[in-house]
Amino acid sequence: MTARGPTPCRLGAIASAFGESLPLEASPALQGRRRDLMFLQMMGFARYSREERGVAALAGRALAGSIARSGLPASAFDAVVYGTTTFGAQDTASIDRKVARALIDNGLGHAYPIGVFLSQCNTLFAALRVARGLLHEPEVRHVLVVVADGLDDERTRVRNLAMHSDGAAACVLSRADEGPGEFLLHDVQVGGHPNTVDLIDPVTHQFDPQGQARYDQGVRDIAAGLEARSGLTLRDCPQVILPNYTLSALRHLASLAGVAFERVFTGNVARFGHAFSADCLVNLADWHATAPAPAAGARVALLGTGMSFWGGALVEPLATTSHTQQGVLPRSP
Amino acid sequence: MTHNILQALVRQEFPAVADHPAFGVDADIYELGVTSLQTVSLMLAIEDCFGFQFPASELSREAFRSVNAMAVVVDRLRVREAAAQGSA
Repeated sequence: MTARGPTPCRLGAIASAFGESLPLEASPALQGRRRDLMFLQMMGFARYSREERGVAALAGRALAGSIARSGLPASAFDAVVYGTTTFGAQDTASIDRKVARALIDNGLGHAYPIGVFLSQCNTLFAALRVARGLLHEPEVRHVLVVVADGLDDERTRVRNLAMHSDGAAACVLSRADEGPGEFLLHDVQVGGHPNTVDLIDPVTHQFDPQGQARYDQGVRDIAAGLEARSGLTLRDCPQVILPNYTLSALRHLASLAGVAFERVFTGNVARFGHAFSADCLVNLADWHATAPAPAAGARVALLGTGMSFWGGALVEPLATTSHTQQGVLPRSP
Repeated sequence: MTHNILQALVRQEFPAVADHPAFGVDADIYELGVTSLQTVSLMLAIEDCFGFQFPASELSREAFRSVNAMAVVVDRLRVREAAAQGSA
């Protein structure tokens, strides 16, 4: 599934929220599992985030940071696109009320909430696509996007060969001519192949061969789609932003996209691991805050995946800024 | 000495790799078919054999790429272990 926007829109005011930062060794999921601990450490993971107040609370804090960062009053936002793939036991029955609390507390009671929740860890790209579409409505000028995920059951924190973190990230999408955004969002694409089978066997850690082939092709298709519609090749992008998977998985994704691994931002793998769909926004902001400014007009590629969903975006940095972050995670060196 | 032990451990964990004509102390075991996940078995065997635990800071894919690379880490940790026991 692809979409072409008539014009780029602005993306910016990225903010994130995390819970308590803990070393991998503290995870109940890794007690007595030295083999898994060593594998995760070898693959770059070192710490994770645990938030006990729930996913919606994380979302609320990320939204607050994004609003503050934007410089806009809360009344300026016309809609909130809320993405999650982990309602969890504590949120399933009351997600609407908990999100309502997060919106009300941030002065967003007037902004229409739209949920996006079937894209696994690719939710960000689905949410960006929905938000960009809303900007085509005449009355919509600024849309908040927030993706937030967390786990209720600590025993499930290690899965699919990654250390998962509770975390949220938010940003603002605005029309190209009036937004606070630090980036122009030129394109966003999603693709998927809904599947009921685990891509990675939770016991043997072996990939399902057919699933892997489908996954690889999905990533290639997204990369090719971004290239076809932009006329660029991803290998020309000064930076590629991926989720925080194992370093081996990131090498593989870079290879599928045809880009050098050295251009992949890996600074947050150790810092908080895989925070579901929040990774790419946080990584984009952290890269932008720390890297030398790329050449004018340069595009940065974002690629994300769920187990059976894929997404990508091309953004153009407009200025050097930093993003706000709430939480106690140590900064990357 | 360390190299011989490590080569034996590679043979124990990955017989097909040790039998490969290209296998030697400089050979890249990943190029010979070992995955990162499989490398953990070798790490655990090394820990059992030498009686120490790898600290997280030493756990990298590069550190286990070849017998030579492993030997550098193992010898460093053995020295550190001996020093720690001497000061205890």
